[in-house]
Amino acid sequence: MTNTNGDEALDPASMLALAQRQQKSVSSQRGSFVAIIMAGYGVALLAGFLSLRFVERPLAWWIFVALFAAAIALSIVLGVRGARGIRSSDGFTGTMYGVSWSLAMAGLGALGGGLIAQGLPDHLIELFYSSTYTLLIGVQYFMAGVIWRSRPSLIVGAWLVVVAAAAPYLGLPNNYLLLGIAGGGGFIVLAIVTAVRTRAARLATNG
Amino acid sequence: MDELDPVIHAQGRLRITAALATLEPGEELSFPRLQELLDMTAGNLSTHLRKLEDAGYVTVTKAHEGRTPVTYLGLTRTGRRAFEDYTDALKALLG
Repeated sequence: MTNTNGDEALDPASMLALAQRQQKSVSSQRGSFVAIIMAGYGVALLAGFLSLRFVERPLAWWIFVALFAAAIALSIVLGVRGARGIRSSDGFTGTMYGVSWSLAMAGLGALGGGLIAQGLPDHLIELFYSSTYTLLIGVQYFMAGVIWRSRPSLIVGAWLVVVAAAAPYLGLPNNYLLLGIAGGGGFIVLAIVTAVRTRAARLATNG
Repeated sequence: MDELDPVIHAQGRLRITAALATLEPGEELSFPRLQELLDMTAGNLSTHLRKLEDAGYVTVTKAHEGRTPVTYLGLTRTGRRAFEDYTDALKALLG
């Protein structure tokens, strides 16, 4: 049926389907940048951890830090762009979620510093930081999924927790193989799934 | 069909109401962003929005960002309830 100005109504089943498709389309369009952010973190984790596995220190650390800084910058730029045209009188949840990242990151850094001050050996420092930070990212992604009802975030969050918890059992340096391939790879797979679903939802309604 | 809200029972207005219902309470969308999300012409969107505003379903707030005037749109409590009642009525009709 051709529709020029949208003043006509369809039968009840089609109208209900239209409402549901429209809501899905809007939600996925509003979240479309999430796939690119996920891909950015995926590449940073994959290439960063593999460099820690195969490249000599301290170069590997610099590669890791540079990749992560780039992924964070990308997420900030896209996050701001994604929020354009949206105004909220209550930004409490989003702001506090942002604060929880900084709080947890800083807390974990300080905790590790304390362990190092108490004589934590070098190989354990690497196992500790690589897995705890990956676990932290996993928990934060899971919480984002809870707050914004995003199933991809819940899945990738839970998956990162499992990967981070398993990695130290492999010992250095193979823990980095698992973190890079399963952790980074998991992010990349989810980024692709999210991008495909976003596109499908938009095409279904807006044509 | 007489129990279906005539304000929402039109494809264009249903799409607008459904889109605005995805916002959290207290959230508003700018006119250009809503137009982009719905892929509607500005004229068509304005016409439907006026009817929704007249029915008390949509709030239209004019704001200024720098020098450019921006119109923000959100659902009123009545509008949100009307959308829920409308979809409930459809579900009831469909059994």
